[in-house]
Amino acid sequence: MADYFNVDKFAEEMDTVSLTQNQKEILLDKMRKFNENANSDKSSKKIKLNYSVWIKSVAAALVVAMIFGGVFVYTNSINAKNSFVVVASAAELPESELNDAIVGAFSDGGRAEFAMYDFDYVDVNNPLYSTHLLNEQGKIDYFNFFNLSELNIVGKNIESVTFKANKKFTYFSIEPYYHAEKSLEEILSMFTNCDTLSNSQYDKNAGDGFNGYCDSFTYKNPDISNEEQTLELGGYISFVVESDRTDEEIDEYVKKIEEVYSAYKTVDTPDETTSAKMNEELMNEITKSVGEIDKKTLHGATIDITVNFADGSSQTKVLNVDFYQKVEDGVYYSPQIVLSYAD
Amino acid sequence: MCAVETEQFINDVVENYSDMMFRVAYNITCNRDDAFDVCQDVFVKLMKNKNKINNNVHLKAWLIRVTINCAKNFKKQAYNRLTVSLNELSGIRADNIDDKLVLTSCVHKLPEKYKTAIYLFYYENMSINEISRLLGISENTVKSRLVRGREKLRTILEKENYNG
Repeated sequence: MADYFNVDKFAEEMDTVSLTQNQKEILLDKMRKFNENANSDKSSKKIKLNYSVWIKSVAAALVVAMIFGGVFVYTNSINAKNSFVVVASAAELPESELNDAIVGAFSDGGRAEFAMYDFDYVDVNNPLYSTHLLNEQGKIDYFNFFNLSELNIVGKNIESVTFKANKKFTYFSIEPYYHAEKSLEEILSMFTNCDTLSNSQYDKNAGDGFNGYCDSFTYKNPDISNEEQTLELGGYISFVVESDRTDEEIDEYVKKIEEVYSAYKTVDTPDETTSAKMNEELMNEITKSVGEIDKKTLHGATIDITVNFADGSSQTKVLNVDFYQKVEDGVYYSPQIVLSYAD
Repeated sequence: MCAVETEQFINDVVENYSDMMFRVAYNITCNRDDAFDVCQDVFVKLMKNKNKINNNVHLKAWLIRVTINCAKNFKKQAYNRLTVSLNELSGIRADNIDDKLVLTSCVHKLPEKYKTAIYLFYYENMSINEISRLLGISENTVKSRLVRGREKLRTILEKENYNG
């Protein structure tokens, strides 16, 4: 994020905006009174209340991150003592794209474009950024990241899980700051072996807001059980797709994004309707180009997931990482990665 | 829902969501008293409509959406127009400026559509897709509001000589 808008500072300030206890009491009282009045209503029509209250901890374990519910797909049997399955949601994919091998689909959430916008020409000259934002040719680092928000590992006696990105220009980002329930230190302590990054052409550091870029990492299960358990790694991890600027075709797409964004910042329109239309068209161009970069980079990409069990045995499953982007009536939607079991 | 479940529901909602709703409302009204009034309206609406809500994810989205709509309507109400001052035009009422919320007050100077997008994206950590569904607008419109909002915010911060 460019340094003129300190997101952490904004969040800190917003954290102080809260209701007083007295105000909360007033809200409780208001709701109770409404409920009493509703119950004492002598209307002949009987209202049947069907709402059931979800306990927060159960909801947190089961409810998907998206606003609407998703479909969890179990692709392998887990009857064997030392075996695991990877579980995620494929709710974002149309039915025509679904098959039994698919584990899940993950959108970039639109954050890719903003990672690109943040590293603008002014910031490149900032000594805080220049050491890891320029490659050998002096070209700026751009990347897209897909938060694996609902990716879970299910099995018994799991001691640790290791993820490894196999293709160059793909790797992981450990992003513990998105979680409010655990402290940063607590989350980072769960991840080890995350200090090598040979898949990037840039010297990335764990800078402000982004932590732990790595080709692979190991997650230690803090609570090993011989009962089936679900390890929720999602939310902590993003899969990163870097723009390989040594590739001429990809470099052209990046330049196009830079040109469109420059035009976007300077466009001056006579009215809001025209402005909105031009904004949409320019943003669409950017989203399309981001998709082209991801599509090319992800060709042949895979992830190894290795589970080490408490008895010393281990099992590895390989996931293909494919690209998908919905296009409807000329509108390009945020790119997605689709994880599926390799043959 | 029996009386015990209703009481539990009321307590859970206030405990888990009231601050969030207050911030959403405050982001639009830029006034704590008005934001609290909005929260009260939303909670009454919630009691009327709670049967239609399926789960906690649906509930959160519903609350944010309704709070935004109520806050926007609140600003349009006739009696509010009677108290317009020069500061009101910039989105901040002079009698309720919080000196500690320097960066927030700059965000509050943005047009409503930009500051709502910025708030949901950077504070509530919602994705573009979630925001687009919540607000009923396309993903590209969300992105353009974020980019435009940040560009305008840069101008405001430079004008305020904000140094973080």
